[in-house]
Amino acid sequence: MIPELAILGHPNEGKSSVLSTLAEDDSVRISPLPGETRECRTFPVVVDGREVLRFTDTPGFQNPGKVLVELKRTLKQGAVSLEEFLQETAAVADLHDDRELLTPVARGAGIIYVVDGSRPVRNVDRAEMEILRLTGKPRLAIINSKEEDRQHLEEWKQEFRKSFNAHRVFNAHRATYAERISLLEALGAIDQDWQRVLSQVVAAFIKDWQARNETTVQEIMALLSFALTLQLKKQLTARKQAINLEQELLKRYQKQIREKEAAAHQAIRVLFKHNIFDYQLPDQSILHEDLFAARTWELLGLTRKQAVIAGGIGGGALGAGVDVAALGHGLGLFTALGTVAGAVGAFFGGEDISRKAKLLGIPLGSEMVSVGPARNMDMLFVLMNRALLFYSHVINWAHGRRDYPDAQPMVDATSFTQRWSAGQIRICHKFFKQAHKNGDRTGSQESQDFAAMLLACLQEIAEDRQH
Amino acid sequence: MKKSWKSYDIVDLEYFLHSDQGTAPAALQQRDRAIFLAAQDEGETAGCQEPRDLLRHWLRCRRRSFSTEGKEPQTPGIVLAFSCHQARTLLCLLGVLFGFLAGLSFFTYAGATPINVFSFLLLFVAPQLLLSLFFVCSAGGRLLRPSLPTGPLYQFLLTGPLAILGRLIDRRRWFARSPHSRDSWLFGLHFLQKQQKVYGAVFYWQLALLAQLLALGGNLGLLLAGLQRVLTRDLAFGWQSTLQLSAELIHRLVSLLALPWSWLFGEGVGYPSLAEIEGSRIILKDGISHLLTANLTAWWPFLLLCVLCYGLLLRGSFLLYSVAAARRAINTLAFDTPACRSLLQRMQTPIVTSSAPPEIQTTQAAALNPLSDLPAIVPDGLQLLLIPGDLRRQLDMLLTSFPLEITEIIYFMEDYEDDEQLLSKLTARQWPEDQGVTIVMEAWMPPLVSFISWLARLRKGLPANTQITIALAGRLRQSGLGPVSSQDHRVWQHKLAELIDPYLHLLPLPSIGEKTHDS
Repeated sequence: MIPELAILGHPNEGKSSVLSTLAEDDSVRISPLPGETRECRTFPVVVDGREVLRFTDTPGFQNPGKVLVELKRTLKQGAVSLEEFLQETAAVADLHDDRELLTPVARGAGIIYVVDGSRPVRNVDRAEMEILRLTGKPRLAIINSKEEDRQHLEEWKQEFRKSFNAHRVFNAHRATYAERISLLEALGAIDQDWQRVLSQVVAAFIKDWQARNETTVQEIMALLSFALTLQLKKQLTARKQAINLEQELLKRYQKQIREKEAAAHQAIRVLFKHNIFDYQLPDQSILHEDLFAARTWELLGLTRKQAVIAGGIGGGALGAGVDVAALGHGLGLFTALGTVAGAVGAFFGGEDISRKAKLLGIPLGSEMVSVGPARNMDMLFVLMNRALLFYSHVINWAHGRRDYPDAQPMVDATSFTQRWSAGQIRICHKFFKQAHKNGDRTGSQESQDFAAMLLACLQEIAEDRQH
Repeated sequence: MKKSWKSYDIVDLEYFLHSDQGTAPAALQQRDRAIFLAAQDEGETAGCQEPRDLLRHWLRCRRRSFSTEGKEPQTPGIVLAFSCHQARTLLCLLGVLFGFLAGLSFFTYAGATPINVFSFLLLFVAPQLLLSLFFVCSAGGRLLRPSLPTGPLYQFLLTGPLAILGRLIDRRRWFARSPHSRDSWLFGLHFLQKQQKVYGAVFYWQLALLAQLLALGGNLGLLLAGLQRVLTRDLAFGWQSTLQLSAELIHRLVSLLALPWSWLFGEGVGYPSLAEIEGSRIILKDGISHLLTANLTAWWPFLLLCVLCYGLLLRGSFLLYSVAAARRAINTLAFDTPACRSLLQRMQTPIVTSSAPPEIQTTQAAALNPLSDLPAIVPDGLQLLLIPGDLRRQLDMLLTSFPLEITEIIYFMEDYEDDEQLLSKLTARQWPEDQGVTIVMEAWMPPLVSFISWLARLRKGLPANTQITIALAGRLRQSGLGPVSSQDHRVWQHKLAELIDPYLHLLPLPSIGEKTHDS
């Protein structure tokens, strides 16, 4: 028989949020009203096509006092009979939801009881807990705080110690990956019969998460390789065209990188199963700023200290600062490429631009202007930080659910790389140079080291060790 | 028994990985995981812990699905392997033929000028010695640094003859048997050209092997031609040079060259003696009539032994080394390209889903009624105050938030049966006309069916126009009472509106001790 865990509790306590976060399923029930959903909903955990575990979302208790009284009537030799209760109360309309939520328990499901830890314990909660205690099933209580108020936590824990095998704090709207895994492991601890299955589920979840992180790393590296090696060229036929051409090329250059970044972010978003629910970034997130905005580069580029380190390693990697907002010269993006025809034309004094002419410091004895590839490591850091920021947002789950109208939006980290060591800067620098050489297609040592570093960073973010 | 990787397996591996590009990741995950699990079920992956073994198994499954109508799959690797096999045979035969023809043309003596020993050594022995030295240096370099880039000759072969061959196959559609095998051919050639950085060492040794086969054949042909001429023709050998070289010097050089076999075939047998060398020196103005036949025929064992030793045996050992090196290059392949790592990850990562099936909405979800059906009126007149037992200690604070003329305070919602008894008592008593009921409830606790039902029965038991006020209290804080949120207010309005009671009022209590802000 497939182990089943029923999520029970008072209406509007966050049962669905907890389950949504555990199961990574954002198919929310569209109802602004608590208590509107009146049927159980099953979330099967399927590993390689085989259902191994089942979570069941239930309607909230609607009549715990009456249920407790009726349940006690079935008490015989110290044990209640849920089947008898369900039979005896089948005709009582007021007990429809309560019967519905106890049905999975009657068929053997374990109990996960969810409460909002930011509010005080009430008599109705005590009645619910007594009902669950009388069922005799393995029970785990979860404190899911919908607000920041923590003054009632101890009160809840004291109540739980009377009626539950174990309890845990699990804030659905900001639970980290590590906390999800920890909760699943805790479920295995409340009943020995479930340990093997839960261990299997945990192992599968961990592997699945690792695979998603590795795919995220590949997406980020593909983005970085593209951005670092992108070069656009265009023929220049007259001096007066030069500035317009530079602007045009720079616009195209920026547009292409923006689009590539957006595609990478979308791919990461899909990986973390934000398919149905339209996840929105917090309003104050730096990710709302344009990729090439000066503020983005100030916050997410190399710090001064890191720029010095990078400059010491390979030279010429100083931060761009606010030059980025200009034509990109601070990035070292523009070069003038000479062509034989242009040089010959200039030599014979034809219509072509003289070799001695310069525009904005770029010698123009040429017929071509190019923008890119970026010679400044800031580009790598900005894109990488934005990707890491985006990742840190999408791995969180229950934002904006009906259950959390007052949920505090997640605060942006300023920059994930600002505390990186010289060794990590060195790895970035090697990857930067190697990407320039051959666009990183062959799994070189430099890109493997960089990938390993990114993977470790993602894992730290997932386990919330960054803050 | 685990089969080891062959070079054509690598071509097929890259072919299948390349053909997977553009396929949706989810589909790839499903397929590759299914391959892994099927193998696990059959016990085939019991010994497959190494990535290379898993990849080999995956390759086997992909080839099976590639083959049509039960025939052997015409994958690029298999086509290339077949072609290599044919090339080896062809090169060997060509080598023998060319060597034989070269030998026949060289070992020709018409009676006037003996066969020039120096010419033979310079044409057939010295180049081989130089090439052998090059081979040894190259092999040594690769042994010390396996990641050494492939040399210019290898590059030339790939960009030159193989590229021409590729164009030929593409244009001359009759060259390959079917479009499938033509595509396989082209992929194989393209792969050899492009994948040098990752697999260069493997295919370098394959090419080296082919080169050794050609040389081996050539030496064999030369040796056979030499033996044939010696057995069937009257040959004479001599040496000549414009440089005034002494016979002693020549003898020393010859002795040096004959070192490998001099222990078996000594002086006078395996190589000419000093006297024989002196006696076979050719001075054209003097002719050869004065030279002894024995001296003129003393060179042939030495020449043929040179071919045997510095040609055949050396090439043979290089051939064996190339085979071993090719095998070692494959066995030490890490299979750590991004594509291989992704494939292994897909195979070894379980597919986990935990989504619920789509929900069937049997009833329309009720929308919140934006219009307030229940006016917020402060109750006037005498009030019976009902308050949950949980708020016993906050009573005084609550009463400061709204003025009431209270006749009685009753605590309820502590025990179900007590509440039932209370209901009976309240509905049984006589109600003065101007007395109402005020029930304090915490706004953040949505009204349960139990409360709505109890309220409905209370209404039934009271006089029809008795005012019932539900006073909603916000969250209790340390400093006082929080405000009632608009969301909570709407939920209560909606739930109580179901009772359709014109004498039912909802009154959100103001906050106490906090700044009001409605969320």
